Amino acid sequence: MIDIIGSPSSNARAVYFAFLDMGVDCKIVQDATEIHNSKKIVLPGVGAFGALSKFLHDSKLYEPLQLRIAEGAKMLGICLGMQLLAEGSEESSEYKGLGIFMNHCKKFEGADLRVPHTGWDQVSINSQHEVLRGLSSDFSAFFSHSYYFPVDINCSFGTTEYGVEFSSVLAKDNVVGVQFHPERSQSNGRKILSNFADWE
Amino acid sequence: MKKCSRCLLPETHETISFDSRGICSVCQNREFRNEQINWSARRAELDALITKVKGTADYDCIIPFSGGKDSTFTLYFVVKELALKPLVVSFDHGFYRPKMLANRNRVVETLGVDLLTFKPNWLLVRKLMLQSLLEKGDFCWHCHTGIFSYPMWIAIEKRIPLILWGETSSEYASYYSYEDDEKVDEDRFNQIVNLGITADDMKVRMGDEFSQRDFKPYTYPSRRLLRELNLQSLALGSFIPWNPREQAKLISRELGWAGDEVEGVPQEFNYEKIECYMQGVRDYIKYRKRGYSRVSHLMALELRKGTINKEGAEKLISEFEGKRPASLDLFLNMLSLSEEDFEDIIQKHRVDPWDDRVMVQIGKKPHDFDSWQAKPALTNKESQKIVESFRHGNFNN
Amino acid sequence: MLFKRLIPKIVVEKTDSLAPIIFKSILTRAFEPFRVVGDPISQVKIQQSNLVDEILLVHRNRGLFDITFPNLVLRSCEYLNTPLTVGGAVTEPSHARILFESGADKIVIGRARSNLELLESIASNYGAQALVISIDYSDDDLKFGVDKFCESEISFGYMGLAGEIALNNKGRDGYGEGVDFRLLKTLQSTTKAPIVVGCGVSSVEHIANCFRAGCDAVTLSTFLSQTDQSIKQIRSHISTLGVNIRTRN
Repeated sequence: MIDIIGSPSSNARAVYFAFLDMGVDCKIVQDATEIHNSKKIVLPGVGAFGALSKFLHDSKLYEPLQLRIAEGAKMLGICLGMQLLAEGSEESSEYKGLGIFMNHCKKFEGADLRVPHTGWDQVSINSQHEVLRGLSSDFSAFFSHSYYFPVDINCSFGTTEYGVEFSSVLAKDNVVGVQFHPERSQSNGRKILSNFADWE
Repeated sequence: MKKCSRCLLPETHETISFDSRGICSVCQNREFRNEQINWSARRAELDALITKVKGTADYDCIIPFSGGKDSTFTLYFVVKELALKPLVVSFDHGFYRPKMLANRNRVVETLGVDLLTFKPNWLLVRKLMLQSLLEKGDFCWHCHTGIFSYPMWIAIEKRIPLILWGETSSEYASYYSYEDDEKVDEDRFNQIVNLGITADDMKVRMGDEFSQRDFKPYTYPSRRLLRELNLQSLALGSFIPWNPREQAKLISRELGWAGDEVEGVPQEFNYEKIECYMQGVRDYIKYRKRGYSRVSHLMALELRKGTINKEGAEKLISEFEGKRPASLDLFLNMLSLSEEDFEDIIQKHRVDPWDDRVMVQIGKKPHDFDSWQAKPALTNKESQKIVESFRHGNFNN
Repeated sequence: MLFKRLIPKIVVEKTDSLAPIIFKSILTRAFEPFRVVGDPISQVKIQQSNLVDEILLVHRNRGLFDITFPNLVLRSCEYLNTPLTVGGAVTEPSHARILFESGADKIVIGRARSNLELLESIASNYGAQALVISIDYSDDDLKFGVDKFCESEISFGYMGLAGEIALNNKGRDGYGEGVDFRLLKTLQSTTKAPIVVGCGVSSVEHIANCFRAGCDAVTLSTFLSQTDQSIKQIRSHISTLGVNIRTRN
């Protein structure tokens, strides 16, 4: 069973439908009691860092999520959900992330850079991971974001170049994050979701 | 027009792209096929699959059959090599040639298999031909969709778990590469087969004049139905290397399969597309749209194999391509279209950068031309209604 | 490197007021309905099979917003693994919320000048990247010059809210005479948002021209419906012409 955190502005439904289509058991959850026994959690997110952080606090999911992760539950953060795994973001400096990764997210800057980073872009795989099994070393995926997670050799498993090189795939122990939207990245995205579902 | 430096296919060929050597994606794909596919592993996969399905239903598999060399070879292989009991399903698009019908009878009688033929409603088919010509510059929508959908329904009805098709599309284009797992499924149907129009869409475009039931033979079954049955729909060409010339020789020898003279094609290629007498019109329309046609395709295959050189290929192409086929008159009569209308329609489907400024030359009539049936034609009124509706819109709220 | 994008546009309209509500997909000319061409769900599936970069699903009716369009969006999303932008008939934040909950990734809003509050609400709740602002104009609007028109739009203050700007010259819609991207350069120097253009494609050359001029994405409607060119074919073709477009997944 995969538990998908359904914050109000997330596209949890898209992730839900994707798993359903693959025959994977899943449900959308919105409060702490529902993740009591979670073994696999997906945190999708779109919009502002602050809004998602606030939702996690208000729905009392913040600490239970940290606890589940500490206990070994596997976690996949998608887009803003991945950024929430960090300490914080330039976007909403008063709000805290889950602190799984000791980094801060930054805004894309650059004279000729179109922002948000919207569209299909290349992910270069730096290190192999269960979740990246079966993908080519340079695969394309769909991105839609204005802030990015910087490269960190300790946790960047995949990187993308857009004005600056940034982390498009993060991993540490039982936690994985992807900056792009696997639920909207056609067969590459499906592979990643399917790998996450199969991840032992 | 830019052409592949190896096989001469032009840039107007669908999905073609060129590398820095000027070599096209179909050739490159072919390099992969020759060098990197582990055919024995693939064959082992096929054998494992066969073992699972054999004997589980009234028939082990369905073989969609047109009487052409590919489906005939596939049938032969399934019966002789794989020792399966197939149900042969033939979708009658309406234009079978006498020799093909003779082939079909001879083949099924020699091999000893059950054959099911389906001939769809001609009154709908002729309208579909005209609508499809207008929409896509390709009048064969009913045939493309019928051939790939109808046998699926038979599989579902009779609970047969496997359908085996012939060659993969990578032999001709770059929709898929050999590394891809090309299943003959709905995705492929939507990419290559239905010209971007499903039966549901076509029903709407024809003003809801026909019902959902009428469109069933052209409708791809839903995922749910297919999953229920766990129906596997695969191309034999995914599991064994495809060699059309050798396969044609084999079936001639073993089954008495005979080739035929084909409109607009050199005599030595009498194993290619012999089954349909509208093929000449089809090829001609393709030439007018894209500046190349069947002979270029055949030459591309030969050039890749090294059995002809570029000079020889170019000579054959210029000798045979782009001639107005005799069958065009039959076609225009059937659909009650004037030559002017026809010109107007196909010029709108020209593909850049082909400029279609060609002198119209007349092609040779094949030997059995007089036996090609002139079927009940659309009336002028019916035909004009469809054309006008396409040109001027049909929106009513 | 970020690829350029090809986006099929599926316009839907309720066409039968007596029968149970049925959405059909239509082709338009100058934004008015021209031909009924299919079933929207079928069209979404077909485009997805052709590996399009995104799908744009627009409800043409200006009537009251009700649950029927979100239901259509929801049904489209059942097997969807391609980004989906939806629009049409959105006039309040609650409409946007329902559409996002039904599976939309982005929402497109036109008439930006009179929808400022709505735009602000969507941008702050869902992020700028979820908002596409469509500037639908005619040749007449440009009669005092491109710069004057842009200045005027900029003065309404909505440019900074958009995650994407879409430019549509209504008069070109459905006529296949090429795309108008005259506003491109001026707007690119004003806003950082990516710019999508559409209306008027009838050849691959038209599409290539848009990208060469600097557009980030091109929408296609009539061209895909009335020729046998699919997105997959167009991709290979423009890639050969030097456009940086995704050619495989």
